[in-house]
Amino acid sequence: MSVDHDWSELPPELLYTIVNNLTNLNDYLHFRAVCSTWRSSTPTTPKNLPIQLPWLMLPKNRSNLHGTGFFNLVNNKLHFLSLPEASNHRRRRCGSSNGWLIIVDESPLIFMINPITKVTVNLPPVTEFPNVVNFDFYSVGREFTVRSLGGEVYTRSLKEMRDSFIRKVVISNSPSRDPNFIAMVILNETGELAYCKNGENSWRFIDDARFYAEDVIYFDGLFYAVHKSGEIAVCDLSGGSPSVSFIETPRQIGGDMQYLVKTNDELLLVTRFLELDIDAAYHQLDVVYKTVEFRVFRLDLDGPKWEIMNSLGDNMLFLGENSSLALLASDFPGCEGNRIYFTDDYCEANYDGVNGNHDLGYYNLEDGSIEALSCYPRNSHSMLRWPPPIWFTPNPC
Amino acid sequence: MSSTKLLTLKTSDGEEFKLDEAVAVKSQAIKNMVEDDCVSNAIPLPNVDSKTMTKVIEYWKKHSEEGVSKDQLNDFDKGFLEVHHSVLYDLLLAANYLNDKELVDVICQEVADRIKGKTPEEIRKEFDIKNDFTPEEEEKIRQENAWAFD
Repeated sequence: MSVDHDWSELPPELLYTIVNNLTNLNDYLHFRAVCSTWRSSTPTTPKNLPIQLPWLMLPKNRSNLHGTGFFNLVNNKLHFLSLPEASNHRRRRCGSSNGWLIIVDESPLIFMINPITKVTVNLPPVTEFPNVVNFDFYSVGREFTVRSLGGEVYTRSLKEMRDSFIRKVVISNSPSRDPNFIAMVILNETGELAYCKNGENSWRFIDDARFYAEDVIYFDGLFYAVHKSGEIAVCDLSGGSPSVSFIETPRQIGGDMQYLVKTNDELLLVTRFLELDIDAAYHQLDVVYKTVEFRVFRLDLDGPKWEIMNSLGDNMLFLGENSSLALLASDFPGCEGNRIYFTDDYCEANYDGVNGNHDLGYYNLEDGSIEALSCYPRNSHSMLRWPPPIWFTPNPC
Repeated sequence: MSSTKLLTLKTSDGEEFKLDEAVAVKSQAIKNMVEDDCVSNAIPLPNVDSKTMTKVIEYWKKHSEEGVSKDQLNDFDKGFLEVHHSVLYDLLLAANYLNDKELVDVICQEVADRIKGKTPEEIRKEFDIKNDFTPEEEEKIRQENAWAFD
């Protein structure tokens, strides 16, 4: 029987049970800042937190002296994280996966950083792709020599390689959780899939999966890569060399980009439809691409075939340059399901124009409408919109 | 055919509670004693006062009732846990002492719900906890994850 009801004196095992009921990283950090016993009886790094709701990582001009701005959808707050590694103009972000940003530098370094923990991990550089045959820092404007599948060689500048060689990078798991993680890269121009395991010095192509290059995700120990027409290459990289099998669905027609997403129960194909739009502002016409529709399909292994879905139910999808993600709205108070949150991840042309617009927002499957995110009103014009926003999942480990 | 055996529990302030054995064994601690056959007299519970024991028994009885729907149980739990934090504290320690995992989990979830969405200062106010960090320690904690404390 307690006389004082001193919550700071609660036995550690009870504090531990209480803290395991917290699902939000913010709450966990606040818990550990209440008093010294609460702090000492809980691990610095929570291992059991579920996947957090993504933040939108904002471009440099929306950030400030405090660091890079991250927008929180639920409470409309802006969080600032100091990220000098990502703000260097010689660098470009080419992936956001499991809480890590993957960054490619002109140098030609590729590395990953966890913005929450600030831990960085190097990946093999751009020069270590099998089709990059030479790198000469002194051949200004033609530093890289690349060989195409047909055997021809061509040169590329530092900037060109940085901006257009890699389309997307996805990792199987956070390096802090799994030192044996695998990184997978989709190469932009050639449609190759390349991978490396942690500790290896070079990237390896998955020859059988070439052209399955629209999107790639990882779950249950395998990488799934999707072709423009919807077929899937399933890559088992656990052994010494890749083993690829295929899910051959009937050819999907139409659409401009494909994404693969795994919900709790299903594998989904999401097709994004773009239209050309004329953006007139500041006495200048810019031709930009705008998303007009998403169509969602679920994989029916009996076939196999893609079956159209009219509703995502409680699911929210987050698509873009990030590793495609599905979450349940009921796990996040304040969120609504049956929506696709998307960012601009496809067209350099949208950034060549001086006053280009960001194509991002959320698509409502209920009525096919597209709404802007509150931090990005539609038709807003802002200078210096680089880099484009990306979904980022805060991950403390 | 089950025998309705009555157990006597004696709290720290001397009060005695008579309870069906079938209900009382929700406490793993009491269950162990029953199995070890040392319950001929009243079972002493020096770590639980009568006020708290009354509430625990109220919970046990409701959760042993027949014909109660899940929704009704949820409603009961909600009302049951709508108490001042000092009552919750006594309940939590009692449930832990009695080793009733289900009740411990339910109370811990309630405590977590009272923590969600609050700043550290608001949490301290909620539970009347003293801030025992030095200003230097507080600053260090803030710096580690400045974004969470803005």
